Amino acid sequence: MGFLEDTAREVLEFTTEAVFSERYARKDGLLQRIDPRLKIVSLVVLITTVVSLQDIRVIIAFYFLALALAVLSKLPALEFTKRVWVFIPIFTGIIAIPSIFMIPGESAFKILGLTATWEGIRWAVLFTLRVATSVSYAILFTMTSRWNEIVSALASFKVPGMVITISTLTYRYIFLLAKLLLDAMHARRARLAGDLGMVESWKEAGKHIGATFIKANTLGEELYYSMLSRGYVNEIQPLGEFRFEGLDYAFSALTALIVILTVAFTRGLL
Amino acid sequence: MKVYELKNVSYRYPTGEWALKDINMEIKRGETVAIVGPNGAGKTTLLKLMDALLMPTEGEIIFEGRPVTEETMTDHEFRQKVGFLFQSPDVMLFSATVLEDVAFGPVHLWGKEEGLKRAREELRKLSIEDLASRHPYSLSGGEKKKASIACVTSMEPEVLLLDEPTRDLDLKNRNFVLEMIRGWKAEKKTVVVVTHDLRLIRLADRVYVVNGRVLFEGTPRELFSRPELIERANLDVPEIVRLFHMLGLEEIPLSVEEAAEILKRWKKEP
Repeated sequence: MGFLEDTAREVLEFTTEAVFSERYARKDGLLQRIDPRLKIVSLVVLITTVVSLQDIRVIIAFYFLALALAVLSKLPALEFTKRVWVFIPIFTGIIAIPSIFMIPGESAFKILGLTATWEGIRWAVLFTLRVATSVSYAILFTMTSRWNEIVSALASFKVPGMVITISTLTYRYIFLLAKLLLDAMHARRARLAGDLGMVESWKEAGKHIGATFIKANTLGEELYYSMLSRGYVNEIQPLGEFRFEGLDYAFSALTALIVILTVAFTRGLL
Repeated sequence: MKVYELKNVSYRYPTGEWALKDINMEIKRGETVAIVGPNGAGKTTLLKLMDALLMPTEGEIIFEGRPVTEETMTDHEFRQKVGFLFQSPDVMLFSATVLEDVAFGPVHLWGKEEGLKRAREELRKLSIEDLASRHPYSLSGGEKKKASIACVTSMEPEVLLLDEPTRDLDLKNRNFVLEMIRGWKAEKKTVVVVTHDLRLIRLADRVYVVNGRVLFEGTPRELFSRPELIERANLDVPEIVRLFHMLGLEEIPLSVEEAAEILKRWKKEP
């Protein structure tokens, strides 16, 4: 039970933090004032540019640009950096570390009979930096945007209404269900003396999952009735209204300029 | 004029169990009607039938002279006229912000611009404008209830179906709900309230005791004059009512103030 309880608590804390991370989205920073539609476009453009880069120096420059944008958007630099770098070694390490030994090239060092190559190390660093920089831009976007703005921006890009409805409801109820699950686990914990064995704890987990499915089903049914009762026909209409202003034009121009300069530099025109 | 007429209405759950059997009921315009009964008596199901969210297995429901059918479920006029306050605010608040939730009904009825205008106005009327941009997950129980009420009242319904509106609320928020209902009563709106709250029952013009079937129909005073019915309805008997029953007095007060008046008269009589 301890492991499951800890996992559930951490999941809940993480998801709750995701909601309360709107506290950054409410700050009066640079990116918070940018039209969310423009932020989505810029995010796609910047990430596409980063993943196509081969020059480590340019990727580092893009990473520092993300950090600068974070600071200008009044995000705490340390927390922002932690969010990026906590997961990078886990996910990229699985792919990047073997490549150090698998990519042929000049030998750098030997370990446990495996030869690491300079080309392999370069590729691993390039890959890790690309991922870290792309994740930085994605996190910048999510930390500086409120969910309703994201949904409204997606709707303005003609994302199907059903997708918007499902994502809105998921975002709303995932926290509620996580809390229900955690409460149920605490209630069981309160009636237990000592720890359960592994088999028993998995059986208990199965019961919790089953009960949560039943609750989710009931909640879903009630939710549908509640929507129907207020005139719902087939989709939720996002209500955000956006207007392109001076800062948005300046940010568009800056993004375009960065991409043009990058292309020019990588092609040796600068 | 009759707003609702229920003729021999029965409802069977998909599991085959009967929730309601042969319900006959009339609700007149401008009336406040309380429906009481033990847990699992089918009271919420009855409200859902009245809101055309469920269709009776047998019998007929007439709303303003017209039978409630499957088409009523998505009928704009019906949805505007009848508002349903669900017991759990969590099923009423499903959007990314409170404003979007309050605007959900009006937007479906009157379009985006008018819907948003009415939603903002409703938030202002209930003095909860400060909640407009908040995520429903971050609201307290009382705030969620107020936001849920705004979701219903923003549609300006003539008939209000309320499912245990004071449940799980503290005294201040219970009083808020009571005041809202007093206001609707004064505006001659039709209110049907499922409740266990004695203060709400006292507000009603008529009371139905339901436990799968209608066990009683009458005024609150008539209900409190019959202890066996109060027991069957699984209601708390007010202390003052118990005292009068114990004293064998025929006249039953509904409040301490009424009891004081009766006792003063009793004292004056030779």
